[in-house]
Amino acid sequence: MIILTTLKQKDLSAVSAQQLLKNAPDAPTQINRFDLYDIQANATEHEIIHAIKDSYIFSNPNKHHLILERTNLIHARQLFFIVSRKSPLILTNKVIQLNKKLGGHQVTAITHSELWALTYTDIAAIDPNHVIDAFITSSQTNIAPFSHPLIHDVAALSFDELNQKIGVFTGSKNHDS
Amino acid sequence: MTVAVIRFPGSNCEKEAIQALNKLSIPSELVDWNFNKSLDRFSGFLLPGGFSYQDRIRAGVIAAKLPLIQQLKKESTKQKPILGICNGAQILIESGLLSDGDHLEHIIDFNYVEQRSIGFLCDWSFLTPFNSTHNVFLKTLSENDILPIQVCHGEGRFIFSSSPASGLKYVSIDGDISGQFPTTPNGSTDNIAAISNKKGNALAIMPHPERSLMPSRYPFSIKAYAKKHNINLVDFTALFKAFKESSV
Repeated sequence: MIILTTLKQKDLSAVSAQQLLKNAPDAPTQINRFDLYDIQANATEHEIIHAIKDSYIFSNPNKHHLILERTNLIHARQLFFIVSRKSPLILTNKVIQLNKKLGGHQVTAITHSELWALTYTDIAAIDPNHVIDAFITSSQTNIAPFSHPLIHDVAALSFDELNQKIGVFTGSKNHDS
Repeated sequence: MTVAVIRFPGSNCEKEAIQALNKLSIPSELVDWNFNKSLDRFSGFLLPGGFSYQDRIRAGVIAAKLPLIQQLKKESTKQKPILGICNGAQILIESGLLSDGDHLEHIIDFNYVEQRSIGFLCDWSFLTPFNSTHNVFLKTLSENDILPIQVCHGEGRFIFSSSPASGLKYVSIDGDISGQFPTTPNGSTDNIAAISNKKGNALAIMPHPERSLMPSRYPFSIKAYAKKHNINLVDFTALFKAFKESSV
């Protein structure tokens, strides 16, 4: 299953990115950053969510939003970009902690990606591939800071595609585990 | 002529860098990230270590996109010496100043050894140059030289799509270049600690040569081992010679 977290205060990486891009043509009006965790497990979603909510493994409720249902933090005027590592890192400490909460060895792997949400006033006019080239993947000539071509892969998602991928927003669970 | 030491929000090694230049009687001037005049009057450039913009998104990437770095790229075409140390190296790499094509050829990623992230390193290591004649900062060093140096970084692992023309590699105090951990402390590809651009006027180095100029500061264990085994350790004075030549 996939879960999202984000800071309750403004994420300073997103602030810096917004300042960096603000004078560019076609720049987004707002940028938000989320942590995306992909949890591979043999437990039920209910058990995993209960364990996550009952711990600080992924989020501190004083500092983070743990996003498990529809929220106005994610909406249809945003275009989403998942920046993941070409060689995924297994977050072993989180696997151990979550298994301890679940009382077994149900969780086999947890990987982390960054989810960047770029807000546009007229999202229908935006070409995701242009955004990736101009604003997401760094090159010699652009001002894109979010991914590096040697170590990252990037996937663009619409609001509906993100909902479908994560499932928890719509109730249409689309989980591997 | 003067060397510009470029300070970004979050730089923290600019004073050591200026002291290193002062020690060699090289005139220098501190230049801030929002400097909006021409860099033409400077004879060389030093980007010091630290945590520019708090390492937000990736270490060095925000600073690398500043207008000042575009100016620096133009100065690089005049073959002026450019040295990036630690976070300064990360900024140079992220800017593409050391890549020759349209694509970024290098990245400095977090320390990663034996399939796990090992966090921040603060220790002494040893370097030896390769293809030293191809870089202005390394040309007076011999390829058998062993240079003790302070390592102080959480993200120092070089990854590249094409092998660097010249640079420095991690080596043991005995000169063993096999480069397994802990000789190469951060898992860097091919044991690389510093890389040059193809033109040879720029060098991005992750450990800190400005802190390693005085042999009197080497740890006793290093000095004692070198004395016992008759190893001639070389300091980093020669590396800064490029600035001295361009400052005369």
